[in-house]
Amino acid sequence: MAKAGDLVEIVTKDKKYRGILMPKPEILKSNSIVIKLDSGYNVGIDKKKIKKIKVIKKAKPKKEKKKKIKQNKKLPTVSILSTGGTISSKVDYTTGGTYASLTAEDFVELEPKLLKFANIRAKRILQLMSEDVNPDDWIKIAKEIYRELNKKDVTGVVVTHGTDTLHYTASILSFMFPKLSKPIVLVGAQRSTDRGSSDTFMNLICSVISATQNIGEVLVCMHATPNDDFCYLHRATKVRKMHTSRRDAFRSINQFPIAKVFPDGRIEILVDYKKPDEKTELDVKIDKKVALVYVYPGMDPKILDYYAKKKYHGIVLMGTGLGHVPTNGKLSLIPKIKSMIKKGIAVCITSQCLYGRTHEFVYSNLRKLESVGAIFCEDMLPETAYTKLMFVLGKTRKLEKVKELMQKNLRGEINKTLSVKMFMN
Amino acid sequence: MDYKKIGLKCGLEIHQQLDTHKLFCSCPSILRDDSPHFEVRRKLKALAGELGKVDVAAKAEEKREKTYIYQGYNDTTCLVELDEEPPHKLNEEALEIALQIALLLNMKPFDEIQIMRKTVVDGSNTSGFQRTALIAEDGYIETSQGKVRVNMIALEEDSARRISETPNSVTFRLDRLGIPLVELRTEPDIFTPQMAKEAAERIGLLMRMTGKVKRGIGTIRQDVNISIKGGTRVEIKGVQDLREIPKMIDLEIERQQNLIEISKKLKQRKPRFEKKFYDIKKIFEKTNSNLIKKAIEREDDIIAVKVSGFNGLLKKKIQGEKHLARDIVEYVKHFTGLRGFIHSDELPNYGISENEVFQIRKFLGCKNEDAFAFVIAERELAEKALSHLIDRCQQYLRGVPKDVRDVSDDGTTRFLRPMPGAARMYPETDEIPVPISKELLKKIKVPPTPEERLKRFKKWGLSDDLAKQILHSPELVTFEELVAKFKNISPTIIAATLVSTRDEIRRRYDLDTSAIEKHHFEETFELLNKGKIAKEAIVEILAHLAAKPQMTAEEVMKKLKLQKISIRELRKIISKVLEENEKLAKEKQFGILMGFVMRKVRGRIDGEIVANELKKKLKN
Repeated sequence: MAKAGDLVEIVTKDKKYRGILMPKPEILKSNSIVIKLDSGYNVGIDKKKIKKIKVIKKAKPKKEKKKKIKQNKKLPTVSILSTGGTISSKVDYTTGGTYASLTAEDFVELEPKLLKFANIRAKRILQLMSEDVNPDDWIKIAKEIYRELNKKDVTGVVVTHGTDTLHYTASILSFMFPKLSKPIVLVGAQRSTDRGSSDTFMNLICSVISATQNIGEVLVCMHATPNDDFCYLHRATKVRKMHTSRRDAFRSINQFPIAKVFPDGRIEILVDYKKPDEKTELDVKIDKKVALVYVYPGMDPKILDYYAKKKYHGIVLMGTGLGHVPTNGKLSLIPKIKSMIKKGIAVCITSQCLYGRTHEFVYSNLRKLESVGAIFCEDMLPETAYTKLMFVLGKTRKLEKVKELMQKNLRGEINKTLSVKMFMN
Repeated sequence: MDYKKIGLKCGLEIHQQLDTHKLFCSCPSILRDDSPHFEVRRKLKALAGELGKVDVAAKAEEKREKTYIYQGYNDTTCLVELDEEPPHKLNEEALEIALQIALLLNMKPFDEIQIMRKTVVDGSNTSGFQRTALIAEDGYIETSQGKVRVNMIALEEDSARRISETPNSVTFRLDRLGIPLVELRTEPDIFTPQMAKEAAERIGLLMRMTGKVKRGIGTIRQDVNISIKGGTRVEIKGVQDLREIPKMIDLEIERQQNLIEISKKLKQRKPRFEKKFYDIKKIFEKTNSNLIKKAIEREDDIIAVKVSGFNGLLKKKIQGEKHLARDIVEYVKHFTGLRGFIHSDELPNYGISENEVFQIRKFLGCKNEDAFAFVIAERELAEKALSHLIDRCQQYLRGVPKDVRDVSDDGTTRFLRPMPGAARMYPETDEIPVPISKELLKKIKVPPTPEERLKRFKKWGLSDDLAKQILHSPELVTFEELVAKFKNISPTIIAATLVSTRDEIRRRYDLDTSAIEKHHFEETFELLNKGKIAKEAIVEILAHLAAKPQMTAEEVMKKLKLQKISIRELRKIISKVLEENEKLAKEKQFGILMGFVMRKVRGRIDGEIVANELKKKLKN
């Protein structure tokens, strides 16, 4: 039986083909067998036409030679924890999918320049595309980071992560580390590492550089522009993926990026940041019974019944404009919200505008919403409000206390002064 | 030359742009010369391919660590060209055109095609690879000297256009990136330069039969693979003019023959190459050479290397006036950017004395058969350059180096890059395989061959000449459409109008005709077809449209009063002219009177009819 990787000869009624047998990704229903010709091209041959497949040469398993990395005592040490995603995706030519086995050596092989800035230690802690990352994974990631940060020689931790939900993970980590003595830098990639044009290389270098800095915050490090010239360091509670595919998809919202990081090691600080605490504290107690719900015209208020019935403890609504929900008429959400709050469910209001602050008094409809006890979340991103509510409900279920904490700036998630240039930049 | 005796073998690689939107996005396939709207700066990395090997050519490019600058336009380039968005679905029209070409070349399509990423690290693709798919194989064409097998056709995206270069950066324009191309490769079945030209012409003509390939400079590029007995397959890129192919092949034969001779001589000398580099500044302490003096003032290093076995060979001419040292310079320049070196075969010269040459030889331990070379530069760069120089010399010992070469206007060639290996392809995971189903193949209409078309055109009454002219004309497909549409017009008139009106307008009215488009022809023929104008009015109407392309043919007709007149109206006009010119009429001055009448009816009725009517009238 011919296996993927074998050199084969395929005989059909019309002609003979010679090439290396390629595996097919399972999701593709196909009537063809794919081989790689000498020219390097892959082509498919209709299975029905095939008379015979002869193995000419069995595939030899690849022996991977790995170079040992020398430690440079003059340099700081950075731990890279990989969780999956595009940044650790390589095309797997045996399954057609993507895979990752990222050891420190792999990272260094991927980008040898990392060794100019730090000794690299690496560990794979998860292997997930970020759409599959859930709150239990956040806890695991936080614990692994904590372990690394407690190592004396480690100056900072880099977490490689899929980009889709990277900002959720980043913001919950901010809350899970009430005190932080070293930087935690989350990094992803928008182009897979198997291509020469990948943004991985610069993002990795810049994130490692950032992890050697004297900063006591959780940060996101990604391309600042479509150019390969520098990355932005974003505050984890104020950043959001704003484009499906661009390298500079991550944008600070209602906040300036903290710094520009250049791949040659330079850092240009743009705004104030938190200096490191003396010790790192970990607090992974979160309440997972929290939902994030988008408000829209025509929304059936009964949708909210589901969360009440399922005994949710908190819900973040992405309202319209300043934080509106349908208030008058048949589709008013107000009665439902009122009854939820009566049941002790925390109802938080953010805006689907993303940019700008919510406000509880500008319009009478907002006042109605406020008067029933909804918690307006200032200029907080809906995703950050969602992770923060989980964290806050992990401390207290008392709505008054919840309100106080939600409206208090814990990790830079609330910005009291929105400047003109913080919009669409 | 007896090409058989020297074992000439040539193969062609032809790239032809297709006339449709881009292959993986909806941007139009147009090149622009106005200033670009934005620039993006990128770096590229050489990575291991599917089988774990980093391609030689790819690695060679990355060594140079360049910044690539991409220029784009807000309205005709998008995020796909910028590599900021995954490719859209493969352009189906382009696939259909490629299949048409494949079938015209008697090729067999694969059952399923897979879009591949072909690693390209010269920066000409923002992604770092070129997307390409093998469509069909095993075809052939006929030439007067025999069959040439066409072994593959691929559909791929064109690369970005190189605009300028500095030592540290290359600027590309994104307008060309992504234009659909078909790439055709023949087997090395070509054994004379004339046959190469004929095969290239034939393939070009067959591709044009689809009516969907781009025409004009830069839309088709021919590469020629050449080898002779004892030589190596060398790829020569970017031949623009087919007429240059035979000369270029002859020059490459000359180059390979000379390199074979050099290799033979070297093998006798048994050279031992060493990458040992020496600083020879000391030898020049009292030099009279201004070149060297200036270098010393600049505090440049002067680094030399022994080139074992090469004495007398560096100045040997290998192609036209080009000597071997020049070939090495081009090679070294590719890897280091360094523009030149000085070698023993050209010394004494540049004020460097015989004694200094002797001193250098002694210092490097050169024997009689050895040459030396030195570079004036900063030490690290100099050593890098000399290391590449020795690499190249080792290649000459083995024979003709496996190069990809670039052709100059005079037909000589220069080193472009090493021959790429096969490790540079892996699947494009952003696209799914495309089945070439029976249904799809049934849908593909194979265009008639040139021979079928010529036959048809002659049946339509075209002369041999005109039939051939229209066959090779960019207006071929328009011609056939218009013939089908306008049954009352003779195909000869349509063909003649399409092939020669533009020239005539340029000549007669000194007008730029580029504004005349297909619909202008169509409207004009519409008027002729309905009998509203005489065929004599065609040129005048089109000339007016060339200047005012926004008008319709009918508007021009009315404005210039070119409506066709009836014979009755003509007779009235003739009568009037004769009345006004009684004397001439009596004298039966046909020529002058014809002139007067024509002045009134020009373009509105056939001149022959006018002459007949006037003659009749004068007889009375």
